Amino acid sequence: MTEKQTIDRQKLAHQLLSLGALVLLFALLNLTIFMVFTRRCIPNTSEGMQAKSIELNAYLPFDESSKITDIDGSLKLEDDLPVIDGAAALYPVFSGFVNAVYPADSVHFDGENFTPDSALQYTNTRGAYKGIVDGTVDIAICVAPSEEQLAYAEEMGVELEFTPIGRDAFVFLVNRNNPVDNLTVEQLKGIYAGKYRNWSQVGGDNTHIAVLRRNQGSGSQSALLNFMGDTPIKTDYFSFLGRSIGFSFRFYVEGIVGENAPNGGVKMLSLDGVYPDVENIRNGSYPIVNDFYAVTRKGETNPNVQKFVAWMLSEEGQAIVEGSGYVGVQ
Amino acid sequence: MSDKLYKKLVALILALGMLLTGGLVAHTAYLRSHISIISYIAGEGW
Repeated sequence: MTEKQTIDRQKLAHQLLSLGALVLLFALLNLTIFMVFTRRCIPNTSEGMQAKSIELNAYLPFDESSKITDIDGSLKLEDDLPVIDGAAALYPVFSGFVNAVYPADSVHFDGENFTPDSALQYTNTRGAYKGIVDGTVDIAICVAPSEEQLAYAEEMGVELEFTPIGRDAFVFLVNRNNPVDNLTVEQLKGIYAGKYRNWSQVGGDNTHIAVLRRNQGSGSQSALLNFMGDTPIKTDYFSFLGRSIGFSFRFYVEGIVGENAPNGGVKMLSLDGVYPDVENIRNGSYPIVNDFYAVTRKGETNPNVQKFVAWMLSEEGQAIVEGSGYVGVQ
Repeated sequence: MSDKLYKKLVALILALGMLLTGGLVAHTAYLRSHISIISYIAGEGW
């Protein structure tokens, strides 16, 4: 082999090595991105759950296989049925109400959602509040509104009435493998205000606290703002790193989503040493308990609206609230 | 191989690699914006 041939072979080897290294570099980069970031964003729930935050057809009224609390109400409405809508976590409640009081042919479900002519609607908290103000919804079953939702009502000249019909705990969640089981209210506010950024500052591992939030106007985001009060919430630009903390309502976590998820699921944190179970919500020892409401328009002319809301506070209505996993107000 | 061919191959690998990485990052951002808080925390995998 001549010297030139030897040099050419070496050059080819270096070229192939460098091309291989480049391919390997991209492969490692993309594998790292997938393993660290993408994989945990892959939803482990059904398409229906992803689209609507709840499986509508699991809690349909007038359905034998439905998971709603089935009560045959003493109040029966036939005409001028109020259109009812509300939050995802409260859908089993207001579906139960409709099941007890409305005729079966008043509800129309096309397999994915309720049709426009159905007396039962589901558009979640933001849609329900907009509907109440716009007049397309007559009763919204939701937690307290956001500032934006109240401002919209005021802008449209609509005064809203709030009748408490039940309550639930506002809970904070971590992955089940997070060693932290309890936080004080001060620590929680500090986390969301950016004062505590590492779990080791609040009794956990030496890992960044990934602070998660929800969309403005959602029921749970509004509840977080209420909880924080005058303390501003700081955005966590590194929320894709570290161990996460989030929030929701107790029944939504336990009763609807459950804890069936890969890697152990989620767990609710105790606050100031008190776990958010039904007993501690009922006796008031859990520090963050929120009412949810039947929201109506002041000056509503349909008498069935007030009749229905009054029935929600009756023994039968409250049995549906409690049977759905919440705590009644009566 | 010739220098010209080598440079073309490097450019091709770089272009495909950046396209793939960009697509993965965009897809991740899309998934992240649609996943529920609970699913995201549950999938933490620690």
